[in-house]
Parts: sequence; structure tokens; C-alpha cells
Amino acid sequence: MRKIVAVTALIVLAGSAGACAKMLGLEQEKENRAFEHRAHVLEGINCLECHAGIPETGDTGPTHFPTTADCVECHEEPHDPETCSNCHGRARNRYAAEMARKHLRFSHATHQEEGAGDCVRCHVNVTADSDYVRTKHPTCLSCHTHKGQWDTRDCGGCHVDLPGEMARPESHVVHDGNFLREHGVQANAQGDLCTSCHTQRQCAECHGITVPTIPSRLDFDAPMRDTMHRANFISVHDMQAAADPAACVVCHSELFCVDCHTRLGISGQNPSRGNPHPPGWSGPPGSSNTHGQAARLDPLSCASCHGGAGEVLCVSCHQVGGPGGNPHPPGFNSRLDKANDLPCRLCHVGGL
Amino acid sequence: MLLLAPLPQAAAQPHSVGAELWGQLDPNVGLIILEGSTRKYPYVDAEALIWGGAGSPQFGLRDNEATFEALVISVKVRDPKGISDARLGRFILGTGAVRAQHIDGGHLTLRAPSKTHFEAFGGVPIDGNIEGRRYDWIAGARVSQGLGKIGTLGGSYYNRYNAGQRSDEEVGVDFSLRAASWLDMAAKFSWEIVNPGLAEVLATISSQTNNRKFRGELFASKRNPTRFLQQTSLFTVLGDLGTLKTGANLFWRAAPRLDLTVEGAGQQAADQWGWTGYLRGLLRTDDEGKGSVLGELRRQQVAASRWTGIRLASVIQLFENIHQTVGLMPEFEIIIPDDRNDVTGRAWPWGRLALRYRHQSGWSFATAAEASANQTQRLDVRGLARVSYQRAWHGKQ
Repeated sequence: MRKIVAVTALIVLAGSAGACAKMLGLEQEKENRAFEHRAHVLEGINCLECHAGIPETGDTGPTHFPTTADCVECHEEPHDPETCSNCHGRARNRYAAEMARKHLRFSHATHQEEGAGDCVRCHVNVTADSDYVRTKHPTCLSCHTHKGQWDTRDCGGCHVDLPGEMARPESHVVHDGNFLREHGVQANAQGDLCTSCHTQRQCAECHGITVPTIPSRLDFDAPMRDTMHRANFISVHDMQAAADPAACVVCHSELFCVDCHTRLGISGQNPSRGNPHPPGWSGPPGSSNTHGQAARLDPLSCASCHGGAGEVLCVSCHQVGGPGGNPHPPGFNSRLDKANDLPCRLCHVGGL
Repeated sequence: MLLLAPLPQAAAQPHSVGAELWGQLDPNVGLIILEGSTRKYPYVDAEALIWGGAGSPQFGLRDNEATFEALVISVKVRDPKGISDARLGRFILGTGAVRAQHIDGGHLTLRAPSKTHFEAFGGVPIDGNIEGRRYDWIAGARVSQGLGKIGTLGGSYYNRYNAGQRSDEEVGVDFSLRAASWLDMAAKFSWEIVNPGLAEVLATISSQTNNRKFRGELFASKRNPTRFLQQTSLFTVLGDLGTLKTGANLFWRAAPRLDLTVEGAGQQAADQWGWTGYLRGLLRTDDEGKGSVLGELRRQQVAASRWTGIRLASVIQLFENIHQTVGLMPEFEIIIPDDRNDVTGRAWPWGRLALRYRHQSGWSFATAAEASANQTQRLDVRGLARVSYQRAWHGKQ
């Protein structure tokens, strides 16, 4: 009995492991294999014997992949009656070549003259056991003309429509990791490079002041998209603002908070709501006066309602000689003109 | 002579148009979004995105009145050699130490062969009809120097006036370096001049293995809200209240279809240290990543912000052929605040189920039902729908 249980358990375990391996992608489904470019090169077969006509091609036209008829010119007795490309050469690489033909301004005819018939100079991977022989970006840029285009961000010299191409950069710019956090600092240092691919719409969807709604609501069918404010952000927005108020004001004016709260009727400025502050919020010196601590934790929340004309409420106590005392921390300095500039002149009447 | 020199023949010119109808039930909101872009290589790029809407107030929508707004109307002209270009119109400006600004204005770039770039910009920051202060204008410049093939170092300055009074003046330094194929670093530093002090520092260093199985990142940020405020605000007198955050992030492609990410950071707010972190797993259900399942556990414990969140989301490809796809997207999140009480609720769940049909011709239809409970509402149920069409084509050869 024990043996039966053990064998059954082993079978279930093996089955689960197999299913898991497949689910995790550890066990790849059968796919066509890499084309044996290297073997052909070692046999001394010239590229043009298979890719006939390619030296004359311009910006458009076919991709010049060999057909079964081309193969059987040498392989007179093929081992299989099927089309050769069903197994030899990866479909994804043929697709990539077709996309390159569609999206690049590339003329083999022009490059043939420059390269003096040396295909391997650009298609370096031909010499390795790989059928991914598409020229890498750094190889293109190693040529003087393209190097200059890269320096002046003239991507349009080769790419028909880089923003519309929707291709992830292969090697020269990496978008891995927490790009939501990293993109700002990268974009500010080399925004010129970013705009090679990214349109203004992509920036404005998040950074635009006049957006109709946040991206996670507009694109509600894209749950994997990483955005600053997820659809349920409203639940935690007040706590997030208290934890890192400066992160809010990077994009939002301090008036954004009160504007929204007033319109939704959940503001102290709404007559039906009354005073939003708890008991003990402010009072004479010696009382609990929690508003001071709250202001230092999240000054933007205060500024939302008490900015502009509302500041008068603050300076009625917080002025030199007033019950609220000097609001400046030790070492405070400012280049503003006390007598004439806001906010100094609210307290420093006559520059005192 | 340059102008007389023959230019390369322009290949296919891309043009695109798009339209989107977006609606929400309870509260009722309807939007129409129109966009278009065109390019005449190498001289000019143009793009526009405008929208109109009506319904319950939210963001730019005003008090149940029909609203029309432009998000982007921008024209970028450049000389054929790429030595200079200029963007004019309504766009997002973000360069050097200048935080992303939505402005009506212009941005000029000149590029010297020595990889020295000069930029000048100016315009009127958009206030989005928010009642209150009106910004008058912003102007500034940046100079940057390319560091061989691997990076850039820049310095910038900008000045902003609010109702005729100086409200911001910042200088900044930015830096980006790809020291090796496995090592990236970038940093940005800005200093407020009106009330002298640090406004913002951001820095990140990341490294990855060549097979991209592992990627680690160290990051730090310090931002001072009183120096981000208009310096005409009384609250700038509170001094340095910066929030400092520093931590690390590790990505691991544990299996070809399974990505795991863990992040932890210490965060200081108002002299109190706390921490925040998350653990996230993403499993792709096919090799192309068309279907996927995401699980995330998040914890924040900083100042008054103390909560735990669990999020589950999935994209399920129900049907697919060469012309069309149908997908189902369930999403669920629950926030459990540390401060649980009967007034605000003990947990704030949120869920959404979306269904989408896409056709190769550019049409897409999507609909969703959403339900949530939070501090202010015990039950909020909404319906969402969207119809969109996108078309891109190439002009003459």
C-alpha cells in the first residue's frame, strides 16, 4: 500500500514539476532552430549565393530570404519534403527583418559600395552559431556618418518613424528597473535623447496640468502599467501627502488640493463642513497647539487653504512680538526685500 | 551653402490620428479626446492632443459645464543637420534642474560638434484654471557637455515670476553616465536662490548582469517642499523641512516567465524615520507576455502614513486571432491602515473588472465595472467605457 502511495505521490510531484516548469517558461515549447550561418560560411559559400539580388536593393522591396528552391540547389536531397524555413531559421528573426525593412531607411545598395562587398563587416553574428544577424546599433554608429547623426539626435536619418516604431531599445538605452522613479533624473539630463522616441503626449499624460483624468483611469484596461497614481490612489493620497509632501508639489500646485476638495464638497471651505481641524488645533501659548507640528510635517496641506489671502490668519499670531512668536527657524535667511516682497511684507511692515 | 546642398530624399512620412470616447457612470463624466501628429523629415514635427468633456467635476472638468482643453499643441522645427531645433506651443518642459513644467512657450536647442549643447526656454506655466495665484512667466537656460559616448554633464538656471514678483530662482546640476554596459548612474541637484537652500537632490546607481537576470539599484532623494512652493508663500518661512528617502531595489528574473522585485527604503519626514517597501511578482502566462498575473505586497510606515496593501492583477487573453483580440483584466487591491476605526473603516478594498476588444483596423472597445470602499465612502460603484480609434499611415515616398 505504501509503495502505491509513494509511486502515486512521485507521479503527481513529477507532473506538477513539469506543469510548473512549463508555466514558468523553464521548459520551452518546440520552436524552429537557429539557421546554421556559421556552417555555411565555413564551407566558403558566399552570402549572395543564398541572398541573391540584395546588393541592388534600396529603401524598399523584399527581404531576400532564401526560399526552399534556393536551398535545394545545393541540398539536392533534402531530408524532409516540408518548406525548409519551417524548421531552419527562427520565425521571430524573419519577423524582425521584416519590421526593419518597414521602419528603417536602409539601402543595401549604398552600404554595399561602402563595405566593398564585405557583409560580415556589419553582420558580425554570421560568424557565430546564431541566425540573429541583424546589425547591432553600435555597429551602425561606428560609421562616421551615423556617428554624427547620433550626436545630433538625427534618428530620422535611419528610422522612418521612431516614435511610431514602438521598439524597445536593444542596447543603447535601457528602460529596465523602476523606470517610474529613474526616468525623471535621466530625462532631465538627456531629454534630447528621450524625445527621439517619446512624444509629448507620453509626457503630458502624467505631467500635464490640463489632463482630464489620471492615466490609470483613462486606460482602465491596462492594469500592468506602472503609473504614479494607481486607480485606487485616492484611498491613500492623504497619507502619502503627509509622508512625502514634496513629491506632490513636484507636479501639483498647493492649490490643487483645495481646488478638488472644494469642488467635491469635502473641504473646510464648504459651508456645510465647518472647521476641518480637530479640537486643540490652535490656541494660546501653552495649549496643545498641534497645528505647528502638522505644518512642519506637511506645509503644503496648510498652504492649500491658507495660501494667498489666508496667510493673514497665520500672521495675526506669528509675527515678532505676537503670541505665536517668530516663525523662522534658526539660521533662516532670504534674499527677498522685506519691505516690498511677499510674504515678508505681511509681517515686516515698513521693512522692520 | 548648406542650404543649397542637396538634401537626402525624404522617405515615407508618418502621420497619425486618433479619437477616443471615454465615459464614466456614477458620477457621470463624458470625454472626447482627439489627437494627431505629423512629420516632414527632417524639418518639422507637429502634434496635438485636445479634449472636451462634461459631467461631474474632476481635474480639468468644471462644475458640470462643457469644458474644452488642449493638453499638447506643439510644433518642433529643426535644421536638416540637427544642429538646432526649436519647439513652440503647449508642451511639457523638463530639462536640467527644471522639474517637469507644462507651459505655453518655446524651447530652443543648439548643438555644437564638441557635444556641447545650449538650451534656452521660456513661457507661461499653465495653471489649469485653478483659482488663486497666476504665474506670469518662467525663463531659463541650460548648458551641457557630452562625456564621450558615455554620458552628459549639465548646468542650468531658471527664474519664475508670479504676479510680477520673483517667486522662484534655481540653479542646478545634472549628470548621467553609462560607465559600462552593466553600470548606469544619474543625478540631479537643484538649489533655490531666493530663500537659499537645497530644493532637490535625486541620485540613482543601477547595475545589471549582461543576461538581464538580475538588476540592482541604489537610490536617494531629498526634496524640500518649502523650496518647491512659490517663494511668495508664507509657508516658505518654515525653513528646511526636507523629506529624505534612500533605499535599494532588486529585480530577479527567477524563471523565463517569472519576475520578482523587492524594494526597501528608509524615509525621513519631519525628523522622524520610517520605512517603505514592497515585494512584487509578475508571471507571464505565455512567452510573448500577452497574458500575465501580478501579485504585490506593500508596506509603508512613515510619519502618519502607516498602511499595508495587497494588490492582485491579471491580463487574461480570452480570444486571439490575426485580426482581433479579446481580453479580460481583473484587478483587486486592499489597503489596511494601521489606524483602524469604525469612522474611517478598517480596510479599504478596491476592485475592477475590465473587458476589452481590439481590432487590427485600429478600433478598440473596452468596458469595466469598479467598486470600492474608503475613508469617505462605504460603497462606491462605477461603470467605465471607452471606444477608441487609432490610425497611422505613411505619406508619399
